[in-house]
Amino acid sequence: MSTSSLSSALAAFVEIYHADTKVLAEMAGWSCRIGLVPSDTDEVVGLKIEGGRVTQVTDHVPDDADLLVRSSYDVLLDILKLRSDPSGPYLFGELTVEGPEAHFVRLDYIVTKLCPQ
Amino acid sequence: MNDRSDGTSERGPGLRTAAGDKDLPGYGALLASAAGTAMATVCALGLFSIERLVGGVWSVAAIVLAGLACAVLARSFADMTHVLPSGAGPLAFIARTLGKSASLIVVMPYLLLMLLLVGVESMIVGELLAMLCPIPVELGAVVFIVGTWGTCRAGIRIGYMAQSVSTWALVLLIVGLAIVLIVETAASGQLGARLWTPAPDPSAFVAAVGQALFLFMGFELVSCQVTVARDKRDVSRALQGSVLVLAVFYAAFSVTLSVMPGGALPTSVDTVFVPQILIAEQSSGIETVLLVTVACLAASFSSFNGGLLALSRFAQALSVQGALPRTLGTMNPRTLLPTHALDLLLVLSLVFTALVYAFDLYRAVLLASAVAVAIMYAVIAISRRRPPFATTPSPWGDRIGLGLGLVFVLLAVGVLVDAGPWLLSTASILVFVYGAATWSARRLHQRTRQRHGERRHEPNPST
Repeated sequence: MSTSSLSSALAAFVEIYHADTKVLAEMAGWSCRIGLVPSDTDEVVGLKIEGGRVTQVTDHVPDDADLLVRSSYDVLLDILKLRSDPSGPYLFGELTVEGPEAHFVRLDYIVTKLCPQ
Repeated sequence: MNDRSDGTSERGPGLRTAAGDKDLPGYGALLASAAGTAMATVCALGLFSIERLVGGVWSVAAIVLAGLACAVLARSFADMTHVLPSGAGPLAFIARTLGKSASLIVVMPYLLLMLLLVGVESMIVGELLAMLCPIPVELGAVVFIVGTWGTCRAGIRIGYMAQSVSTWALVLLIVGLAIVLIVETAASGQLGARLWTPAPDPSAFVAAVGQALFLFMGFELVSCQVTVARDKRDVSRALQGSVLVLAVFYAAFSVTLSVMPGGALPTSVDTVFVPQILIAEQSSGIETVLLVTVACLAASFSSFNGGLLALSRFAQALSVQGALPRTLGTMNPRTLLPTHALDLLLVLSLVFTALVYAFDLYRAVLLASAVAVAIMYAVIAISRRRPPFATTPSPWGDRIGLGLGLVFVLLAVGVLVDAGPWLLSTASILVFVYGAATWSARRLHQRTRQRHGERRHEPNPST
């Protein structure tokens, strides 16, 4: 398991996302509360998105979350560090989501767009 | 909402939807979705093929046996969905036990055959449209494919309510008409003679059970909806309930085909016709025929709409992984749909329809689908008994899984052994779909190795 912190990886991810004005503009109408829940550690992170921008990052699953993303710590870290997109682990059962697929599709879209090819 | 006895539901802590839980699909919607996915119009041709192969009560027995095997499998799917609530369903289940490549090789042919079945389905829809308006069957088939693709590309998804209405309307109409026809035949004193046909050859009966598996193909895809279900347990109930609904529906349909006057049905099993309409014509007036026609069209449309959206997402995800050409991974930022993948599916659907039509591949596609679905079910039966789905090692569990898997493999072999003049075309289709799946699995494997190689050369920030 990696020793990097999930919350610091999330903070870095948000910074990169907010710096990409094109993707940010495409997500302008999106509001969502997401919880990232590793299956093998106690560290949990959450984020609140309003009008496409991440307005809050927490160390717990947000109340009334719209989407819960569950996977191993390493897979979640790889996604936040843009080393992997979520669709692969999702397709092959390493990552599961709970909540409307539309939210996950947006999340997948953002990561895929930000991922270096 | 279905609550537990302790007052909680089987959803994540604090999870909500924008408008509350009432918007989430419950048991009824999931049951209709599972049954509706399997209940394509093309299934009637499969039923006719089974009727010609064994006939009478033997057809019903073949359907019941296939239903029993699927009921056992539905339990396996329910257990696996509980352990791994994944929107990727069978692909994820097999990947977790046998690896990504094996999963692709087993599941991708099943998905490709769904597209080939669209070729058969669209020709039937062409026949139906030709009944409603004076257009050639071929044009009707193209209108169906392009029209459904156009609605998908515009981001329109058929809701659970529409799918429920079309599925239940079709079930009630066909079962109602079947009862009318059976009662009429019984009143004329011919029911026994038409149902109690001589016992078929054992190999023909095994082939009939194998072909009957095709009729249930798709019920298990409801497991993919566990991520949006109101209660995870509703998915388990829908998996098992749908097998019962399908078995009753197909058994009633099969009895009706058996009791129909000999001259009403075509003599060749390689003919495209709409048995649902024949039944309506035999037992009722023009209004009922029109109702059945509309119900069939609605069922075909909702089935293809859902299939296109699911397949395009699958193709997009595979292309991002490197298993398919990268361009298929492009998403439309407005609709969030993989438009290139959708466009490819349109082309494939049209090409497959043309091939099915030009080379009379109707029966070969049905037989190949029965083989592919039996193989996938065999692998699922075995996977269920392996970690992470089998929590405690059990030699008996292994044997049960292997035994059920062997039954499905035998049924697949039975279908091929009894394929007769369609063996070559069936085998060719199977070579094509399994070849394409193996090619994708190989690409995925190479891409994964390449990524791992790149990762090893990355500087480690912690050192």
